[in-house]
Amino acid sequence: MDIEIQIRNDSEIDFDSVRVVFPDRDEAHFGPIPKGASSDFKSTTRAYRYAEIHVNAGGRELRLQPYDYVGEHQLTPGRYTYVLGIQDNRLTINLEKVD
Amino acid sequence: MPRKAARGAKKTSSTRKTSPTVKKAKAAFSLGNGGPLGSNGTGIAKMQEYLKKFGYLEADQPATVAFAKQRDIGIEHATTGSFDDATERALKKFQAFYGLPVTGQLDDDTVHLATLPRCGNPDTPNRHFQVTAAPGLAEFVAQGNRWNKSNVTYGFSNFTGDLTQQVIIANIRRAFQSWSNVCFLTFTEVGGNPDIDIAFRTGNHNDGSPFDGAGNVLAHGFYPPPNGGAIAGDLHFDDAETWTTNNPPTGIDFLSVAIHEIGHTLGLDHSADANAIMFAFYSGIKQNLATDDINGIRSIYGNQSAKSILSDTSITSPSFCTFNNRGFIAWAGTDSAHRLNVMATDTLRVWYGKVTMGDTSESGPALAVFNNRLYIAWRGVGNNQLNVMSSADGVNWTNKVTLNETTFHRPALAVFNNRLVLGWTGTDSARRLNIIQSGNGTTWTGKLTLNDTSVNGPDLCTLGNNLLICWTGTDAGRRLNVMAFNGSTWFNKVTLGENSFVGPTIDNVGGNVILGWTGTDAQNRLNTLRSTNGVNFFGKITYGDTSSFGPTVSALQSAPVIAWTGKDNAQSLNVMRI
Repeated sequence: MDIEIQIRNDSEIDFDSVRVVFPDRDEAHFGPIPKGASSDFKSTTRAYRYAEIHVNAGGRELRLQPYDYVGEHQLTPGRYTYVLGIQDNRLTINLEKVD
Repeated sequence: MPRKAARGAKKTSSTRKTSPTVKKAKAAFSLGNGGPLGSNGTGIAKMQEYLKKFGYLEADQPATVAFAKQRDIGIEHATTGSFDDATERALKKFQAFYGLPVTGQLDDDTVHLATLPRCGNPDTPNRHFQVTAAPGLAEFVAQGNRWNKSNVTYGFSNFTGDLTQQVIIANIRRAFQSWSNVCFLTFTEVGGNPDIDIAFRTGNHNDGSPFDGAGNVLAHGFYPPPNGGAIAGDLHFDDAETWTTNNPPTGIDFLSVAIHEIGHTLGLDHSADANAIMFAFYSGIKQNLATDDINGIRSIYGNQSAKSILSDTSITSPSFCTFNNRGFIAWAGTDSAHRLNVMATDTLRVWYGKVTMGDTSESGPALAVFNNRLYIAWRGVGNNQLNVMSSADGVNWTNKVTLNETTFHRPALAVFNNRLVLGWTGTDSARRLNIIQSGNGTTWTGKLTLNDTSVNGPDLCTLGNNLLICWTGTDAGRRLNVMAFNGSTWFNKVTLGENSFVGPTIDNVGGNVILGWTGTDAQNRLNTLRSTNGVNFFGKITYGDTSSFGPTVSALQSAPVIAWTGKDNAQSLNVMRI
């Protein structure tokens, strides 16, 4: 079973596009995600509680750039949600396990 | 979580009789009373299964994860059936998490807890899934490993073409300095066999954690030993990134990443505090440790404020001040001539640049910084005359001036109204206090002799628009006094209820006036009081440290310190952050 990840837009604005770069340069394009909505699930083989994430919203790009994954646990197979928000003009992320 | 075991609900093995339930459980674990390192057996394997199931040991899955051999957030891999180090550590974490005595052994309390019915979700003893900072969240995370020495070495295997070697070395030095400034660790660059090997790598570089080209992973720092053998503590930068030191960055800011990765090599995990260097995400230039980072590193290595006891010895009180971001201590040596000495430090742990001057003093000297020069004042041997000299680097001393004033005690220096002020207790029969000023450090004018008298040398500092002077009175009680001077009038004299047989010390550290003195108790313990206005003093602290002479309160990189000559036979110099 793979790791499956969806994006939920918890911000107050619509996301025009969301791109996630998982470790091993496995990229996933989640497309537009309106505020409050969730994307479809995308599969990957290795993921952590965060990833490199690019969001285009309102004509600007917001980015989460990890330093590394040192000390982080690889997610076990299953379904997860990266919950994205915007705080102080910065992208924020939280992980939720989908039962 | 077990249903009945609340955190902090402690019962010790010694106070609780082994219940039938526990006996049954212990039989199931087949460990007997304890579980010493090196034990083997199916019972140990069962216990390990429990610890794996609930998040205290690495689960049985292929070690394909980058850094799988590391102590990932404290979760380690144990050899099944063997009571090894990892099992012991996991057991300790389990015990700590539930408030049991942390024995590292499968004692009655632990067995009892492990046999309670519980939910199937793992505990999270030291991890959190929320990456974004939020109020109330745990912040820094200490991974668990640490360097078991205070001086850690580092060296370079190679360099990147993005930056010159000189720039790389300077920035790495600065990154290490960031950490050593706040904890009791020092770092030394070495040519071969360093503890922390720094390299620039690309792609798969045979450490089990291949880099991924530009973007995503920027670098990785391996935790300290024991972890993965020789690679423990090493630091690799992804050479596919464009490294820069430009501001604004024209690539990835090298220093910011270096400070973060060094945090890992010292044993820190990612923090939930978005302001922290150890936050998981790079966000451009971030080169200053946050409070969370400082708390984190100090939780592992302690505050670097631990007292520094020097091998140098002094006949009386030393002086201390910060000059060019370094701390300088000055003292009269215990050599037969009592020559003056000055030495520097960055962190109180390493002292360097010691200069022993030809000038001699039978009292402690005074230090102050004025017009970008470090000034020293002292009482000359033989003639008791006051002398002042200065230096642009703390090493080469020039412009010596001998004043026509005399004292039997340590003089004081301070900067007030853009003038250097020298204070002393006169050699007149009453021992009256005096100050004199200089606009250039060599020409001294405007001598003022106060009516107040002192048994020893005074000290000076500035607070707002006023100069403060403190001294030990000549009254029978030898009470401490503080008074203010606005340039024309002395006012707000305060006679405290505290006593000393020697001279007190006073300094303004970040707006807080700190008054220090040697007590008249049997041990002559050091004391401090604080004040924000120079009138009301509060927060008395009596230290365990003792001295026969007056201490000096000052600051090192904006943090208050106290320096004194110890009561040991050698009369060693001591400096401590307070």
